[in-house]
Amino acid sequence: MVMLCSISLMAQDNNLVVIGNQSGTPADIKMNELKAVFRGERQRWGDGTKVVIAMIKTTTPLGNEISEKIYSMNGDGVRGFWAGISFAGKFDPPNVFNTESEVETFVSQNPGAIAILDRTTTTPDVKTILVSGKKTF
Amino acid sequence: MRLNLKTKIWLTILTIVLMFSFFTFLYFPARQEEYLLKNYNNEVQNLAKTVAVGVEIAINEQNFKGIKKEIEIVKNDPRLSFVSLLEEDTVWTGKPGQFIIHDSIITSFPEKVTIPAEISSNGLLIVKRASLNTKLMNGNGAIMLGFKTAEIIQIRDRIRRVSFLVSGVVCVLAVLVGFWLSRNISKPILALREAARLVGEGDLEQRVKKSTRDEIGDLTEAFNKMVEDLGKTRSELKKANINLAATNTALKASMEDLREAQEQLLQAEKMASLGQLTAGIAHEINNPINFVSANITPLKEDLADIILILDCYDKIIEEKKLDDHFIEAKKLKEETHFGATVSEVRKLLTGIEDGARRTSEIVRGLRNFSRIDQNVFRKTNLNDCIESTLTLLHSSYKNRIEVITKYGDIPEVDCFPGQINQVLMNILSNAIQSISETGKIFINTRVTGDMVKISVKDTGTGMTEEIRKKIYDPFFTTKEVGKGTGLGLYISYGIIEKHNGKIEVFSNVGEGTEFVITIPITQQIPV
Repeated sequence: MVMLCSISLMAQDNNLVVIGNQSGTPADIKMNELKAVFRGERQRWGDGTKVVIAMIKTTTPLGNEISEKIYSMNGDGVRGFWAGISFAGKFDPPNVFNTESEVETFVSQNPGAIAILDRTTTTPDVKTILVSGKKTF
Repeated sequence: MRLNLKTKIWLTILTIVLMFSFFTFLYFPARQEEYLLKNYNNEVQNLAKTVAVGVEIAINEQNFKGIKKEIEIVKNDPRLSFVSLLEEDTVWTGKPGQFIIHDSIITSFPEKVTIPAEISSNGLLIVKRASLNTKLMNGNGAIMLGFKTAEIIQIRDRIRRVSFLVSGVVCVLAVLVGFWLSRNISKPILALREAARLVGEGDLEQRVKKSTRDEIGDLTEAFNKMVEDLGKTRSELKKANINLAATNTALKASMEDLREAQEQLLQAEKMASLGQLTAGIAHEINNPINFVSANITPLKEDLADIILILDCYDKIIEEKKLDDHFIEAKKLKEETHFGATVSEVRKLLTGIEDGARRTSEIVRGLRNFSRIDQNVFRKTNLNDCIESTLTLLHSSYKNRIEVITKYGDIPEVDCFPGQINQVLMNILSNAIQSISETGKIFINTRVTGDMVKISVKDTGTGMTEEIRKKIYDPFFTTKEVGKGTGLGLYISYGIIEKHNGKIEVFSNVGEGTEFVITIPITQQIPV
């Protein structure tokens, strides 16, 4: 049982995939850069395309996992984080969706859009972005 | 303190202007500011609530763009000073059961503005809070809006400027109204007061010009009417007074005439009685005097005869040398001083003759003087009248006053001789009495035209102008009490007037007095 749990946790540790619109987003990104992008610290991609963040709600298990891995805080923390940024109007807040498919659709439709899912995508115009050379993190 | 109408008008206007200024410049702007601030507070409060609700929903739904959108509701408002997201924390004070609520600002817009969480509304800012019920903040969040009041202050200042302008205009209008009121109310009333004062002093020609058509105009009209009526009444009263005075004067004159007539009647009666008495005495004396006068001449002749006979006896005795036979007679002649006795008898007879003649003159004078006048003028020789009067007065002036008469050749005049004698008696008596010791009286008669003038001038004490003016007044006298009635000259004046003549007096103190009587020779109007 302990092993199963450990395997499960391990699997959970490395099941997140970064997807991005074919246009604007890089093929590979470092973890620090990824965190900077999702914290809003980076607004433009290398080619100048505007960074567009798409997120699944932090109240979902996936959202909560992303919160912990990217923001090192729980879902409410991330919600507060973005609420504060949105309130201050410093830069564009992320686009938050209820389902992964909605996230995929959004990413496919917006150049420069980036999102984190727990699975790879087959949606056209969406590519998987390697994180420090890896498909998952 | 007494305030006149003009002052009251200006005080009223000043009070109205001050009240108006107070309300327009202070009270109403303050109320408007208060009203604006209240509305502004409500508006900001509503905005805070709106934003809070929107943000609450957006946070709960993780619609971060929605949050941005909600913030943009107020972000573009130029009045916005700040908008903050707050979280209320309950902090334990370290003492059992004691906590304080501590607000902390999560974030604000604009970010660079540092806002203390405890900030509250002040003169420059309105701060409003609205709660956020979101699980994210454990239900203790809040939106805090800070809106600037600069616009309100600007509006308030603008209102004050307009109020000041309006107050100024009202002040100018008030001054104009004040002048108008002063002109239309105060001035006419002051004019009425002045006119009333002058009317009160008796000037009934006063009229006030009617300058308005209001009650003051009516008052002016009524005043003018009143003064006019007053003038008419006074004029009528004056006429009545004049008539009354004339009646009074006439009555007085009648009374005076009556008294004068009474006095004259009394005097005439007295004089008539005196005249009758004098005439009676003169008549009674005249007979014996005539007897004496008639007998003196034969007595003198008889005496002369006797003396002639005696002289003849003396001659015979002397020629016949019969002295021895008449020794006793010769002795008696010598003892009785016969020659002196004869001389004395002659003198006595002359004296008796003179006395009888003098007595006859006096009696004649008395008879002349006491003639009782008829009601018709009689031709009379005034020189005789003067002589008769002088005869009667002789005893009062003889030996001290020299009477110098210069009778002109005057015709007989128409007169009442008794009354003329009375006048002459008065004037000559006064002339004699005015000479205290010795002096002279000049009597002169002459004809001037158809008039005869009698001048009686004395060298007496004379009289002052003041006395001269009063000498014809009844009962006026300068003599001692009981020695003069004060009616002599008064009656004389009346007598000469009755003769259509005049009596004049010229006098100076210390130089004597001259009376000049002028009467016509012929009377035109028979009495």
